[in-house]
Amino acid sequence: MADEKPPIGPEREYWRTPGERFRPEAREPESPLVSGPAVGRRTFLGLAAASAALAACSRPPGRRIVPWVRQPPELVPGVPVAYATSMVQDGFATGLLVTARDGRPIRVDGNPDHPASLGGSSAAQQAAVYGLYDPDRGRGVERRGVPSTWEAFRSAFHGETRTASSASDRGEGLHLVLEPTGSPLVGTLLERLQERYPEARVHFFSNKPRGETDSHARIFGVPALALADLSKASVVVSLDSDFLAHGPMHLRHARQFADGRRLSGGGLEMNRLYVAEPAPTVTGMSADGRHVVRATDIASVARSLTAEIASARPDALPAGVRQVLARARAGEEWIRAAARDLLRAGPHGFVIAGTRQPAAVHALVHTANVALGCVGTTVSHVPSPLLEERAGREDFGSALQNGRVMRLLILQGNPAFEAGAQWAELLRAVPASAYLGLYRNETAEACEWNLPAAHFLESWGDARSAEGTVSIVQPLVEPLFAGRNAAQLLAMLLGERDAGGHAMLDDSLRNVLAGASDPISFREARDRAVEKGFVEGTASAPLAAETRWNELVALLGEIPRPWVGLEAVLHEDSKTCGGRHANNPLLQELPDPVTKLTWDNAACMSPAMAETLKIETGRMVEISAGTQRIIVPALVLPGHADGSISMALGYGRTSAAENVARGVGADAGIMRGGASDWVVKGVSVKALESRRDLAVTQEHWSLEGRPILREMTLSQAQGGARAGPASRPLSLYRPERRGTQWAMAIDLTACTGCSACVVACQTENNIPVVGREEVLRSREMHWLRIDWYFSGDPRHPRMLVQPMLCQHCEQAPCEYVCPVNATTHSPDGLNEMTYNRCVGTRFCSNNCPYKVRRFNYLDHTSQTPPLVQLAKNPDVTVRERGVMEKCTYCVQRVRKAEIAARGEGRPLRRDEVRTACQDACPSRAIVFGDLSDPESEVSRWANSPRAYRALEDRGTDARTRYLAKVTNPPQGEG
Amino acid sequence: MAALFRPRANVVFATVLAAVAALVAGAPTAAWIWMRTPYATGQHAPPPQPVPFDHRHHVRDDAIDCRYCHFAAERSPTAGIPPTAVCMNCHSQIFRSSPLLAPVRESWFENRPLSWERVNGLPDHVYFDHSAHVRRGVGCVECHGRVDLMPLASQSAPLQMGWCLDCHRDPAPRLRPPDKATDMEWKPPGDARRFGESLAGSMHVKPPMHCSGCHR
Repeated sequence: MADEKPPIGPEREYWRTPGERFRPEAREPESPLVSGPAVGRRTFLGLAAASAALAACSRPPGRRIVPWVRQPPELVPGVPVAYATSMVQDGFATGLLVTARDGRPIRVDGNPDHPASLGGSSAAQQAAVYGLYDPDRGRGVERRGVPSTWEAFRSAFHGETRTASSASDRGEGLHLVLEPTGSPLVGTLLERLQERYPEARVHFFSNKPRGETDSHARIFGVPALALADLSKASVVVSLDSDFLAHGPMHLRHARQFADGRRLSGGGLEMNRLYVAEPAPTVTGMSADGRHVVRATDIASVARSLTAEIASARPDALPAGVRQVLARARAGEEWIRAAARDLLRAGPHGFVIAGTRQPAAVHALVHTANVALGCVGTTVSHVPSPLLEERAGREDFGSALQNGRVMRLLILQGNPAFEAGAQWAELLRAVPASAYLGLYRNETAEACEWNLPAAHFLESWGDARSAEGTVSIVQPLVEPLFAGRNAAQLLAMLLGERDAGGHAMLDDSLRNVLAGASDPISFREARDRAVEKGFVEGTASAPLAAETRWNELVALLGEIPRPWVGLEAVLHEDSKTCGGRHANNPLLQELPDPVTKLTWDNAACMSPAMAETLKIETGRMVEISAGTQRIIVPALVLPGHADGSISMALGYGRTSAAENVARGVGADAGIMRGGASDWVVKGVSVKALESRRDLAVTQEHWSLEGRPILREMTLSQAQGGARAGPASRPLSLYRPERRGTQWAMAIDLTACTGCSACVVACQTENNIPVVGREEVLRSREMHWLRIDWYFSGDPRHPRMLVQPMLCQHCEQAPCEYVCPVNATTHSPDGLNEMTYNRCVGTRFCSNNCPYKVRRFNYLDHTSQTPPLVQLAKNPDVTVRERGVMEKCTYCVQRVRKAEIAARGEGRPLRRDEVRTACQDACPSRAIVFGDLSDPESEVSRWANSPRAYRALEDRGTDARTRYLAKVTNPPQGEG
Repeated sequence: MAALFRPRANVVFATVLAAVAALVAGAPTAAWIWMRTPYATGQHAPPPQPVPFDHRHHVRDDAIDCRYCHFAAERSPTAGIPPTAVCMNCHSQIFRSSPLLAPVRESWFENRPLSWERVNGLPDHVYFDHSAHVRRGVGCVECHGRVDLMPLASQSAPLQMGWCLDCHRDPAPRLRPPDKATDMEWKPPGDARRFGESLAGSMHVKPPMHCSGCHR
């Protein structure tokens, strides 16, 4: 009988920091005393009396109502409308649904129909509206800092190109630098530009490592992308690839990967993930078998793994490849276990390598996948949708250095920062240069003309997702600062009349849509595509090209030799995405999914290495690479490889106009040899005396070691193990609850810890950003946080994440202690927080065992600039100083749905209400609904044997259920 | 030894004691009363408007339904203030040169919206939904008063939480068939309570009495 088995209890000891692991008493106090200018008693009394007197004087100001002059028929004031659009990153589109209220976009969510999103979204996408309403954005055209106009730029820059287009001059010295793009519209414009100015050069600048495309270009003859279909994968081996949180298809990966682990519908099968990586990542945290290895050693791991597979499948590979692999040395147990599992899975196995790994490693991975026979099932190759560079890749750098660039137009991106400081100097030397961008960033500062770019929510355009689908970029507002996008600027350069982005998009779609010759059917097809957000049926067909084995053998000859020494591993974090969103305060304050660091980057290293250097988290270290050195604080990270230091790129921004980004962290990029060289060999590190306190949230809101996390292995789950007791604890008092009973359930097996939900909650609920100083005092306001726990050996710890938010206890400890009834219980089971009643005693927060209540110590809202106020959700009260707040289960969405249903005279539909975190979650780890309906998703999850309530023994009777994390460890572990 | 206090001190002491007691009890009472005066709630005082719009004339003389201008009342949390285009539907034909309507014509031709002073305002932490009330049988007149008799619109009800709760606790006497929502002179057939109770039963009217019903 399953019910009689003892619940899976806290058998393991969980810890959050190395200090807590070894010296539990060494944990930092939760709220360090506030240091700051001391206010004397007399001053305090004086200020208190003055503010009381002033408060009594104020009367609410008269409020205005400003209606439309001509009401657009589709808009009803106060009723939100959602539009499909796409956000482009690194050239690849992800489909989004953006909600506008009274004409202003306030929410971003994934487009469930778009192949790159499947309804999920990332933290950077969730925060996009705060990028739109960023007061630091470039406003208006400027020439050397002097305000100018588009017309002046057109006549100046276009006048020059017109002389260039005379019979003698064919665009010599004209260079365009673009971000990587797959936009068909930009592609046709660039073709026309090349026709008109044959000598002009078009470059695409990216600092992304090119290992994958380089190896595929040689193996297949065309630059190709490997597309994973994890829904068919039963064993996945990742070699330094963070495929669940990075890359153009990571949202799809996260969803498919989680779907393979849910154990729902009675099935007890589960995929298994092996990860070898130097530093913990979101993918590594989800791994069933994690192998800690330096980035430079990944090549030998890949070689041993591929050799193991090749020796078991000799027929699958040509002799030349087998010969190369035969020399590989036998791998460790992790490699042999992974190879065994992969071979058992055969076509349902899948090996993937990280972007920063060299082409040879990608070639090894391709060899392994061919040997497994999984090409065509779990992995397929498609031609890269990105536009090809016509000139040689290094051409632009050398042209800059040789002074051959006479006229330069940089369209978006930030090459002066991403390519290194020497570029900024070279750019300054160009006689005529212009930069089109959202911000006056480092590149803008080096250019003569600064042109405001249109945000993707302000302009029409198109783009392609990684698997080729043509996606529509649809604006929701007119450009706030007279910005234009790259396509409009190219049209201007061509001397074409600005027909508006919509007409230009129409021209481009005519080449894509079927039946475009007939105006009526074209318009119908176009409207359908715009409404859906993408053009159906435009995904690329898998590459028919055969593997060129001789090229592959040559690539295998380039496998780097094993190398001993200290390496620096660089990555773009999933928050600021390499500095692109560095001016977005929401993303700067988001605790990094892995390090829990806010408002900074740091040199992450293993506990053993820190011990050797005799340093601890927060001590400054000097890292030298060649002639470059950088002084950064150290962050000790369990599960980090020894002999490796990892750092996030995109920090240490210097531009004067970006007030949020400027001065946050240090630029790790200066350690690189080349822009896309993300693994730096031969660095040295020296401990310094000074310290810098890092705003790491890992130690905040500690639950003092209470057993809050539960996990079980797949075999335990198959044996019918329960995570919680089968019956509720006895109680004399149990209030009767009738009607709808709201509840949430969170599947810890599906959750990857990516933190998109944290930002979704923040934008939905108008949660303020408090800044580094306040985070250092444990005063971050996130209603939803992701707790990160370790267990076991600090060198190879197991890592677990748990989203923690208000549990909406039925016997809520906070409600009993509120002296003013500001926190109460609603009949449908919500723990309500009424801000206007709150007097700020903080009793509730002290009595909350989950530590999920947040107090407004300071006034974070009254100084909000009017532009940023546009991003606020009008359905949620903006809280003032001295008020407690916490997760409300998105009560505004609940009430809105109820009102709509009652108005239509129908009951609420099953699972009709969705919370913001649930909407955002790429892996569908959160469900919300009615617990009194046995068929609702949340009821089904709550009745799972894996379900438990956090701190069940406290008798809080929490509404939120967790489904215990189920791992599928390789045999012999567990 | 002479007495330390003269007999008069008793009187002074008692008077001061009474004054202090009166102040302690009276000040909050006075504040309590003052907050309920129409002056403090802003009732019955028409605010200055860019155009002296006459509801009485438009509703009574022209028999225009509320929803012709407040078009979103049944669909949206907000009732909707008419766009200038709605004014111009008629005033492009009649009173074309009235000086009182100059701001409306300016708005129309210069594409610049009119900016009205809010008459019925709730604090920002209150989420009132027009559609929830209008569609479930609460007439306009219940909160807005006899707008059809107002030459200049003014706030009729105190719009304080106690006033809201009076109706949320006992909605029956104030309910009417939803299709009569805009009828300013509608009278219940027979007993208002019994009629309202039958309506509340058929429409499942259960006004929220918990905080998050209105505060989010």
